[in-house]
Amino acid sequence: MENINIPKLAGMARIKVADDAKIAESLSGILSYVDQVTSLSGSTNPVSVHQNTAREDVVSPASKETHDLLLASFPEKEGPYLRVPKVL
Amino acid sequence: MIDLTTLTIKKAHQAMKNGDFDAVDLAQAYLDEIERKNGTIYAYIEVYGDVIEQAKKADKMFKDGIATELTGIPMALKDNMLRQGFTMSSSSKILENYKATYNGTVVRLLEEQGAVFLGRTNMDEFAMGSSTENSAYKATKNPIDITKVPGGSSGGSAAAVAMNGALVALGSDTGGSIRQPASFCGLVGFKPTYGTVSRYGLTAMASSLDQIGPLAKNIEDAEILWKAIEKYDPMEATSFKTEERIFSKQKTMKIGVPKDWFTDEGLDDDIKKSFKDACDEFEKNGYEIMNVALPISKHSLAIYYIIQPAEVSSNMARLDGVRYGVRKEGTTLLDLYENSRGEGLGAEVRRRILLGTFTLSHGHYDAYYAQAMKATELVKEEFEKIFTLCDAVITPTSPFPPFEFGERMANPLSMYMSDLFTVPANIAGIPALSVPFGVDSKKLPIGIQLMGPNFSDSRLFELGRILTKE
Repeated sequence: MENINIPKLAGMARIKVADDAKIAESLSGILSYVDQVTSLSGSTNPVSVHQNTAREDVVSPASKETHDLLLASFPEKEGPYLRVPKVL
Repeated sequence: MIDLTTLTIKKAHQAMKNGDFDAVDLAQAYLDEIERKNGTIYAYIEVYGDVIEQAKKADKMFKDGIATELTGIPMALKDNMLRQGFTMSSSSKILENYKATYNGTVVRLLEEQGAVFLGRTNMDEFAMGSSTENSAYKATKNPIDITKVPGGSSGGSAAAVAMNGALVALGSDTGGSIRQPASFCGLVGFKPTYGTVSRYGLTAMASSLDQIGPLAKNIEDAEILWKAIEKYDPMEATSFKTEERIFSKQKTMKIGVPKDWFTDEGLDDDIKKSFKDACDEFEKNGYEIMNVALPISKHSLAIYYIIQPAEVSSNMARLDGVRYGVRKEGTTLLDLYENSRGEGLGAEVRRRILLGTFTLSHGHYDAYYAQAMKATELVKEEFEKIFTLCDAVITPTSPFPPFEFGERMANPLSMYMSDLFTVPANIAGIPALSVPFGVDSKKLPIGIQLMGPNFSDSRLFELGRILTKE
């Protein structure tokens, strides 16, 4: 099993992690377990591919209750606007 | 005094119809029981403040002559189902104060029938775990033996019903999260056919595997609750239309035993015995027990630990501290993401996000994710073939009985093994039922699992009744 670069992985996942070595060890353990999947083979003749069915893309206004709850869930806001740190 | 120990939905309905007690009396009886026991068991994270108000509405439905079998029935919701205006935390710090902005479909359907929601139950954070120890708050105890875990991730829902703190409960099952806690707490737990109960308003863990289902003390109650929520929903992209839900297969009177699956990790001796007794019970009832070959499905747990973390890593991306949930400031937007997710999410959730990010990353995708998707098709094909020979496949629900707190926390793989027998049904998308059958030498409950072909949900209840003798 190759070495897993935890800081790189954590960066891609946008997560701050502290215990790199411990995480690497547990991930390696799980990856060696799931490795058995790589040897599975057989004819693939999809039997029951369950497709996602999309709805019509129609805008419908939210109720006032929903609207108020959405606004109330903003971690930080200014009036009815969501406040975020500077993007650029 | 209402005897909550032996109460069923039908009995409660009849009593409310006759006027022996009303919905408010019944709700109060459950609230009192929760008050007595929740401090020790911690089945509920929160008891809703409007329980009596809901019960009054139910009483009015009785008075108006529009009550159904579920009107006034007190039930528990797993803390990953949206009820508008009420907190839904998925037992995570990051959603500690999050209030649902809309009703999930199951909540809406049950509310229309006048069901009474008692509260939201504890779970492993974002449903990732098999013991409820991964809750960001507190671990739930098994009401049958408080030194043992109740199973998970729907451990709070199972404990709520087992401690007489709810008549029935809803859980969600991605790899065994309804069936394994049902087995650990001596209950019936059911994972319906994928796509038959709407996931709209259920916090997504691994969307291609998640399914909502009931936990109850007997098959009758589980079936009534299931029937109320098994509906086509245009708000859910994988919901089967009513006319697609057809099952008309002739009975073979045969039950399959997947011999290949029993060679992995040692099976507990008491569970082995109960399993044999269960097979004997079917034989006594005129069924033939036959060995069936499911060699690819034997690898389902490995397939699962590729697909599920991959879907977790994408589903959890929305939890970034920007629009809702806990926000931990940083100097840049990137810091804000990393800090909010780093502090708001627990160790197991972070582990699965990282694992999924790894298997989906450039250079690893084909070896892991693409290969696992191919294997999923092979599993489905294999089950479809087997179900031409038998009515159901039988296994124990869990390879081991309820375990001690902390016993499996240090080694994630030993925890994942809880789902060895339950995960194949999620990979195949098929329905699976766990029924209590016997106890081990320490008097801890043992569960037996029955899996059937797609849409054979009703038949599984029928087969399960052979074991529960209902």
